[in-house]
Amino acid sequence: MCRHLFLYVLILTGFSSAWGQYEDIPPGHQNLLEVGIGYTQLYTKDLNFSPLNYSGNGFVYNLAYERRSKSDRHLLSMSAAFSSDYLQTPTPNTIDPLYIYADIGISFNTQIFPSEQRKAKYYLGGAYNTRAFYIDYDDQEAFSYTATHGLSVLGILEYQINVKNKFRTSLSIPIVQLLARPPYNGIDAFIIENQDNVEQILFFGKVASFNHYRAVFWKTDYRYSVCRFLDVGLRYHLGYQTATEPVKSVLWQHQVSTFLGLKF
Amino acid sequence: MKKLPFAFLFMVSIISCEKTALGENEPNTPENNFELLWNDFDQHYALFDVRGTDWKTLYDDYRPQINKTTSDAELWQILTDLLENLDDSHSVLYNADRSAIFRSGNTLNAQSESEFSQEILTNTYLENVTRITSEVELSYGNIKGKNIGYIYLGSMNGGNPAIINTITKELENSQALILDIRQNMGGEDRYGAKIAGAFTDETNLIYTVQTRNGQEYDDFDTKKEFYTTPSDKNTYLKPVIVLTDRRTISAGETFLLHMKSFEHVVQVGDTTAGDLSTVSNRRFLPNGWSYQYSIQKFLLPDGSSLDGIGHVPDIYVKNTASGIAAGRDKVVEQALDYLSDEFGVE
Repeated sequence: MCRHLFLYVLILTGFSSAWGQYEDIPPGHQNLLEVGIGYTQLYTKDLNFSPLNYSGNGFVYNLAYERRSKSDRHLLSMSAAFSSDYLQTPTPNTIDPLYIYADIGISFNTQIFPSEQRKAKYYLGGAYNTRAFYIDYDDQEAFSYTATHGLSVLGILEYQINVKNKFRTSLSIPIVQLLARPPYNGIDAFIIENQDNVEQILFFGKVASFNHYRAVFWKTDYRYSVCRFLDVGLRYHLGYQTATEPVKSVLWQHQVSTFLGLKF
Repeated sequence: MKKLPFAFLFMVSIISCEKTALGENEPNTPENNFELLWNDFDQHYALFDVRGTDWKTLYDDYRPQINKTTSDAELWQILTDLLENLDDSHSVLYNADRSAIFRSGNTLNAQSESEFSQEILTNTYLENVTRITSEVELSYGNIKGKNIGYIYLGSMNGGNPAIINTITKELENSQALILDIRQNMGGEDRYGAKIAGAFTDETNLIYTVQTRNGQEYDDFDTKKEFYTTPSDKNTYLKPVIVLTDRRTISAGETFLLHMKSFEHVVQVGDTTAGDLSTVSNRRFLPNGWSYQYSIQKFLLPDGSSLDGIGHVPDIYVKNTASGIAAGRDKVVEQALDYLSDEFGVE
């Protein structure tokens, strides 16, 4: 699997020859609607579910909306991502567990160090995300989940390479979350009572910060302007999260996806 | 800026490997498989104190039998021998493809399968039998030639417990009811609670539940109380005989906790399994085997537990395999005799 990554990175770095050219910066769009599809590779270990290491891969689906202020000083973004497939472990097993990953968020960022002469723009702000990662073995013979609902610090760097080409990278670090994890023994009276009410379970948790939940989410885009109304792009997304309540869980994800952006 | 793609390539290559992300996987050795299972039970099993099991001494007894040359067959025998000490049919070991399943304390439970026959019941003792196809193993009818209703409830895994109100309405003119929960291996406690609500007009505290939530054997969360809630539709308050055997287990037994709190209910048959707890999620070993264990303790209002004991019947009677083979169900016959002697029901 490590070797497969080389192909993804080769595609991404193949555009590096376009960097460094200067052309007039085009006027920006105010609204952008993006839809994308990609492929995710993930690694997870959740001691509440199993002492074993699991890996998985599958398609990821992305939807996003972004609105810029007229002065380009402020960015409002909304996004949703979803992926579901099966996990594997190198031990003999007849049934692979299913995973479901969902991430819904909204963010607001303000440009810092504004300058019309500069091709690079820096934004800083915050985001709210609801994220859930759920593992299910054989129709809930075993299951576990990590759900977070909370605030992050979000920094964005945009670099307009030339009229057509744009690079963007962002880093999000969750600060405080409502962390929902299974109880110590995986099941308790609350889980049993609410087994038909998933929302109740996924929003039943404790306030957690870096003491019990640490994560970082890094996205890097390359965007090409096909025409005045349409962008195409390539994105790499790395996500890492670890929780220590009630026992340790770790989730690494990296995704490569393509997207279409409608500008209006 | 031109060096950025290469730095990016380097970072991605590093972090894309499983070992970097998660650390080494658990070794698949006989010793480690034993240690993982024993430690998991040690930290999560809820009934060591209730059942009086010295789990740490059992480690000293069984661990020396395992070394790196222990075969799968030998490891299976050692682990099943270890778990048998719990005498808890909620402690289960599965092999990788589930072709072999071991349940602790299951000898008497399994034996009772040959001591029950629905065919004999239907052909010899019952008439007008209706099967509720929307539920799991639920049927009702009448005892032949008598004004006694009969309900067979073979599972607590149904989806619509309110159907019991339809059944009790159909049987409302009977002088008494036989409610047969033999071979009922459980399901959902709340399903049984709803069924029990059709047989009472009172709200009673029936049991409390606590889930183990820490590494000490006495680490449990706050007690949660469970009550019988009477049905808001018709309730059946005439004599009810509940039939049980060794394979009345788990949610079948919590259902019986409700029923035996009602004055008009009598239990006839064999002692139940004595396994009331809730089962854990499936737990996994590096060799592909998996297992489950009890994670909750169910206590009666007086603080006592029926785990490891079971419901002792008010009237003890037990079928035998030979009796069933001869076409007789002595448990049903005893129930009918009791109704005749005590209530004059013919």
